[in-house]
Amino acid sequence: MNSKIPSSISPLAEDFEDFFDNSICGFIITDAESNIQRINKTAAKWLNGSPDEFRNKRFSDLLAVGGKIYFETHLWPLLRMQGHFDEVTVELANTGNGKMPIYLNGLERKTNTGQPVFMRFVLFRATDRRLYEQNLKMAKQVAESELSGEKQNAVIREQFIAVLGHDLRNPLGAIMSAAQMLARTALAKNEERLVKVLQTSSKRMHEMIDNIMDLARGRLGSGITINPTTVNLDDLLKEVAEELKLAWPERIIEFDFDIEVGVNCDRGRIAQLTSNLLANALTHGSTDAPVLLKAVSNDSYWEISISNQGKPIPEHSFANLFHPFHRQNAHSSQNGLGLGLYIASEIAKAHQGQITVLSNEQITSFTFKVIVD
Amino acid sequence: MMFAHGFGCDQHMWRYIVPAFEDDYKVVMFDHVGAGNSDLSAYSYEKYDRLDGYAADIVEIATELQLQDVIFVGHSVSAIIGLMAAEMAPNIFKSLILVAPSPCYINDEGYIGGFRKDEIDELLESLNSNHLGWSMAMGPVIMGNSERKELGEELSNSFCKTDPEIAKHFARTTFLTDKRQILPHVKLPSLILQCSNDVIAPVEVGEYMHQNMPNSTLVIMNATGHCPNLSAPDETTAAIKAFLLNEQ
Repeated sequence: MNSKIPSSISPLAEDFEDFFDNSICGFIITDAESNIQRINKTAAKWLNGSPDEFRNKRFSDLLAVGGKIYFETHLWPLLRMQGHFDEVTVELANTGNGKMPIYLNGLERKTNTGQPVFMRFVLFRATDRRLYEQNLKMAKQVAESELSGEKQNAVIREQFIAVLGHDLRNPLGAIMSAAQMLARTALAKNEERLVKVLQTSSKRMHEMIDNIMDLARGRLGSGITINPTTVNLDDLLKEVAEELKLAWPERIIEFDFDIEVGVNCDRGRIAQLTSNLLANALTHGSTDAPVLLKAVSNDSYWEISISNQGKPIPEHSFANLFHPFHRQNAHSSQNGLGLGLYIASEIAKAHQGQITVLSNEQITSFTFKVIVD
Repeated sequence: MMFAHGFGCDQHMWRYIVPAFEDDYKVVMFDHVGAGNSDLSAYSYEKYDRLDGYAADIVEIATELQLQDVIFVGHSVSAIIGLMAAEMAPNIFKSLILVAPSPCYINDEGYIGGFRKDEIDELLESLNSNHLGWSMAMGPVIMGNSERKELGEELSNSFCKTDPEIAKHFARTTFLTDKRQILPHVKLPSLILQCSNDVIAPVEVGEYMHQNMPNSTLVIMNATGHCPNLSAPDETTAAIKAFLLNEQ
């Protein structure tokens, strides 16, 4: 600052005249019409002039055109109506070196009869802050445009998956019928075994394609639709278990059914849900203990529960258990795509039901339950 | 009497004027859609892309309330919106009181509007880049957060609330408007209240309007600035009363 302070002065004897003029912020006092009466040296210096030059100028004349219009249409009315405004970003029009961003606070003083007398304005330099804000704004724009690009990519990817899945079905269908026709002919023991491999593997592939297409459909917005009829769970569950035993012939699946009534559900979807949960239990459960398939149906609820023994599900896996592409054991080749549990939970949702998981050292069980209204 | 606020504010800006008329007139006040306490969800970027959208609202309010012989008082851009409403529905209005009006803010050949085109572009740009105090920080309050705010916060933003996006659009609609051609069509008795030293609508604008509106009265007020209804309510009220007395 330009004026020198005597070295003997104590901080308590601070000269308020000096405090006003040589401050770290700009001070401006105007009359009630916002004509400048006093402006401190700091503000005048920012405006490339001396305090006297600004006397009786209208306050808004100091501001660049945006701020000028904003002041006259918004800030000035605000001062008159609520007596103050804070932290408004405007620009000083002419600093001799382009515009200068400032923060502006304003206060109006009234007489005790409510007559406005003068206004006080405090100006803070905000050049760095403006730069920071602009950087933030640009970062936000970049992030938004990247996000929207990613979203488009995701949609394209999922459409691709849907189309791919659909197109794979036809040649696979041909393989499956060919295998079935072969199975009906007289075959040598060795050939019969090979045909069996063809059949179970192509069936498994078919299921994976179904899961992939369900995922794509869910992601593309249409979700899983169900077509409910009255279904005998007993038959359905045994059929599913028989199918899985083809792929895991050495394993034992035990039943514990308490089925009193038929249930209203989508037969194909519940078969898919059960098959996914059973396959999950057969894959992850201990190989020397049976898998237990339980079912209950009565007037108030129905449920299907699949339990296995073996290592419990690690705690860190729980949160993502039902997320697509989640795989419990990275090293196991039997995992498939990690879509089984996701699809099962989507089917459960479509039936207004829920799948709950219990897992400890003794037992791991998945229970799908639907409350009947 | 119907009072319409201008750009950047809301109906609160009539608070020092309206009491002087309440005893003798049925007073109707409103916030333009997008301003003050209006329902922001009713804002349409298509409808309010032109001042006609706002004029149609005024006709709709008058029709809905079955108003007749309306004395329309419009501030700033709403003065012009009033002229347009009177052209749409001539039978509703009795007279027009135009406070700090301007039919066109941008200078043209033989016309002083107060701003060069590049200055208006700068204004719109500064709104675009969110330079001004229509900051995002004001957003939550403006967007009508349903929870009650503590009193302090309620007070500090209770006047002239402005949603930044809408303010930007309203500014564009307002400051790019040129409605000079409708002035000669206005046959209703009109009072032009022109302030001295108004950076938004300089004296030349008031004089231009007066010359081009056949049935107009021009009063150049001592009041300075753009909001005489706030800076000089007594002078404004007296000028309106004198005009209305003369019209009876």
